[in-house]
Amino acid sequence: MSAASADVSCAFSQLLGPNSVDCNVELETVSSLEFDRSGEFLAVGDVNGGITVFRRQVSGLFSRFHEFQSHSMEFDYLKSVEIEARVSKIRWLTPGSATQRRLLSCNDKTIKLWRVGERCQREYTHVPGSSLLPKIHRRTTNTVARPLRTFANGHAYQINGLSMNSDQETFISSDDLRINLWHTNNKNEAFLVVDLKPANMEELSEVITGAEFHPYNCNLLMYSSSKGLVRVGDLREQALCDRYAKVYEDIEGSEPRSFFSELISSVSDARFSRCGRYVITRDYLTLRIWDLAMEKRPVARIPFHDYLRSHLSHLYETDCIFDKFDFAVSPDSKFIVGGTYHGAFTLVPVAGGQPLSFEAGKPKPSSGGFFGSLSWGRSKKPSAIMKPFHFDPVTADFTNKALRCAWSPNDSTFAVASSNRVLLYSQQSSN
Amino acid sequence: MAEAKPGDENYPITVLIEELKNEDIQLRLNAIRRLGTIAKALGVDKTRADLIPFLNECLDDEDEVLMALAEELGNFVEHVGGAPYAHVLLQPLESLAAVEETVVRDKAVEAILKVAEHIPNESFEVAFLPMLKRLSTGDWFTPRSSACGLYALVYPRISDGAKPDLRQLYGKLCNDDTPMVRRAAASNFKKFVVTVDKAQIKSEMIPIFQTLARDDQDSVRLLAVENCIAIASKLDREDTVSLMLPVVHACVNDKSWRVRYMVADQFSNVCNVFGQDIARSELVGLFVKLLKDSEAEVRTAAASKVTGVALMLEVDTVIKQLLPCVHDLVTDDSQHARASLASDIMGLAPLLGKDLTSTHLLELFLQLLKDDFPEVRLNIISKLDKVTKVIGIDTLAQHLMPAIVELAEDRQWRVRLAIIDYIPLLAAELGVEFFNDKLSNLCMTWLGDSVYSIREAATQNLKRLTEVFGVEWAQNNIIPKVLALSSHNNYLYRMTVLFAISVLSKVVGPDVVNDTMLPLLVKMAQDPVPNIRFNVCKTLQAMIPNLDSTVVQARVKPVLSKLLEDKDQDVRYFGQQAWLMCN
Repeated sequence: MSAASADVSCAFSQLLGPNSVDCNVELETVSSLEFDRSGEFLAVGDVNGGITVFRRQVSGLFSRFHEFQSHSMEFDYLKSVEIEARVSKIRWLTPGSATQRRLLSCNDKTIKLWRVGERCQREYTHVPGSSLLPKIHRRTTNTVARPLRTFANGHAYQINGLSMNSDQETFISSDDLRINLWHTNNKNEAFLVVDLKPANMEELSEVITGAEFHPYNCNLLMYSSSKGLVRVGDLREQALCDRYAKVYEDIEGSEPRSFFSELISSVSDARFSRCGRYVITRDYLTLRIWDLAMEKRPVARIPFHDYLRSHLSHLYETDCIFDKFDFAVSPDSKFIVGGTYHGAFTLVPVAGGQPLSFEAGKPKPSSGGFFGSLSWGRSKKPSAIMKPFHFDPVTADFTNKALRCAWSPNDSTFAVASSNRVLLYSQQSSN
Repeated sequence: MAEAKPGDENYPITVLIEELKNEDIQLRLNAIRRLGTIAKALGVDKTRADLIPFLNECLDDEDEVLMALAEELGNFVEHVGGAPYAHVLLQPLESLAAVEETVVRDKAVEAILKVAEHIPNESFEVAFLPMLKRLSTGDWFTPRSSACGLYALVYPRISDGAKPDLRQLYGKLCNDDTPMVRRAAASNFKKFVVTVDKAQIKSEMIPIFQTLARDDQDSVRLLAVENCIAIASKLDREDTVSLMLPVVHACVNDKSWRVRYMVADQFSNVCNVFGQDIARSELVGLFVKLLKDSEAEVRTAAASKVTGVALMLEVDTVIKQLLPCVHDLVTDDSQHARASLASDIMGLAPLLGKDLTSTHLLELFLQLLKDDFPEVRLNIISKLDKVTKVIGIDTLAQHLMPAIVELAEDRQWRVRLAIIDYIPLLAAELGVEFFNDKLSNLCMTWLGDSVYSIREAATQNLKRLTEVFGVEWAQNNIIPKVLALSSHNNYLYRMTVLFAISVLSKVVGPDVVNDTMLPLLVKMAQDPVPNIRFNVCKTLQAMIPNLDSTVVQARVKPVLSKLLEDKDQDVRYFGQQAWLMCN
């Protein structure tokens, strides 16, 4: 872990959050992070139900575009339970105009469709004696967010997945036991496409942990489970898609049975690759890359923060073992980034090579005076190469978790969120 | 703010104009809906010169406002000076057709189509063609999908020279990158294609259609069937077989059950358009496949089309090929498939005739009549008349009774409600003796059901039965029993009597009303329960229009005058209402 690998490298680009030099915004603890399809917008959802949208400027840096309250805390009277406002997922829709964007956001129970964009405020003057109608005399543009539809009461359990279909009008939402299919124009109806609820709840051994539609095959739906399995269903086959078409189970590479093996096998994030040929999953310690054509074993097993393996009991006691970490894939599918503890993240080269970790934050001043010579707001290129970071499980801060990350769909920019800050980096190629 | 005061002739308009700019969306909506008023006050010249440009600046607003605006503009032709000036409305409508929200765009397209009707042929091309081209080549998917809805209107009215370009543009929309545009192009295809000449359909439109029918997106492919039907209506038989039939084949064999569902749902239309020959030679096999499909939703759709398809076939084919599938469907796992079959299968009886129906169909009807699922049984009963016309009621009657009784006593009140609805039909079929024997008790029991909707439906039922069997029958059979209820302990049953009287008074003659009903009402006006007393008032109020005025003065008014001084205020109130009716 000593020398920086020539393959894996990234440079700090920007900090979004309190005390940022160029984008000083008050963020709450970040709970979701998502770039839109053009990479122009970045939505950040927080634990208090708010969403802040950032927009990329010509300079390449992001600035605050709009913030709004997406969800509020609610009380479920029937079950005497609080429903957190925490925004757990954000998904962008295809844009239909130059000044507006739509996105779906959800908390544990409710999904909402929002429109965010510019609104023209007009001021009028009357010219007395001429027409009865006023003339426009000044225009200001400000931003506004409007809730378009609320998709409520679709889920009895906590929502853990949200994904738009390639037809750009329908989407799925998943909870522990069920997956619903919705149409963006219809908030009153949802179709059940997967139902894992057993007739006898005592027989329950596996829950759904996430779901996603294939990037271009409108009929393929993937869902991950707490047992480390990934299933792919074909919506064409049947109206109720319980009978999956394929299941991907890594039997050879599964954790040796231990007290913790079940807990750490639960898939915390699963995504299709951009090309649609692969599914990548992450459980607590390992990344797996599956070729859709081969169900028996993954094409790659990449240990992620394997050094935690010997600390599992400590992590169990502090409940850290239940943390659900995201990952994100670069648009060329060559790199994967994922967060870890101590507010750090790891860049993994898919083709092989040493993954490297970096501490999420600005580059340290000790790396040769970069700090002083940079003017964050003006520079066009990311200007500070990050030094790799050696994660020491003994001294690491386990309360600082970089759970969320996202990669811009068109370039090398990726974002990592740790507590109430979002940090943007640019992955550098070695050539 | 313009200088205008109340009393000024411009004041109402100024107020409306102010509302157009108001922060409160309800006020803006209100003003938009009164745009016609503003336009009238301004006159056509100023509307064109000032109002339309003003509205053009107001297009950045909430969806509801824009929707209302689109709707208003669709009706604005007279306000801008009639047909010669209708085109000025196209500018704001074009912008509205490009906004993000689907419902606004749809309204805008509707409005454009309305305005187009007024534009004279000479100026049509100049007004419409550039707009359509702009929308079709817009940067965002939004104007492009709206454009698809306009081709069917524009194409027939432009010059022949301009047509090839337009066809090409539509082809581009059908191959658009975004699924939304392709879907819009596919769903508007059937309207557009029928305006195109046969030669061009063959050379240009069919290849475009074939790409749509092979689209990756299920949501685009499933629109293929309806387009197929539209195209086939314009081609001759040979072309239909060689060009369209393969598409139907492909849809029936499509991997996506949704596409197969669409074919099944449209199958009788497919048969009708392709013609009897093709139906008999090619389509039967495909239909059988759909009846046996692995997905229940597809079987359900196909089951509802059995009669429609059978009409095109020879009786022999129906028996040999369709009936075995129908047989299987009767015991299908899915209750929806069985229910769908039950609502359609009765139509086969007239087709097969008496003997064949008895041999082949009767046992199927009876089996469905005993199905677990109430909807299946209800669907059989609802179409009973089709069968009784063919084989008469007797064979069925003995099986019907147990089925009806079971439905009448079902635990779910909605099932009970549904069977009550069919009683008059059954009564007409079964005849008065059968009815008196078996069904009349049932009808009385319903009057005392625990669910209000049932009691209400039961009273309506009695009225309809009176219409079927006549007043005398009602007088002898129903009225005595109804009136007997009036002394029941439970006031709810006594209430039902009042509703029954109210309903029946319309169909029984004045004799019954005067001799039997009015005395009873007089008696019930003294009921200890106030609800009964004020319902007496309400009943009288409903009956007064049909009563002779002497009767009203002599018998109704005395009763009401006592109730006007009742100790209960609701009774007094309703008494007042009825009293007013007397005069």
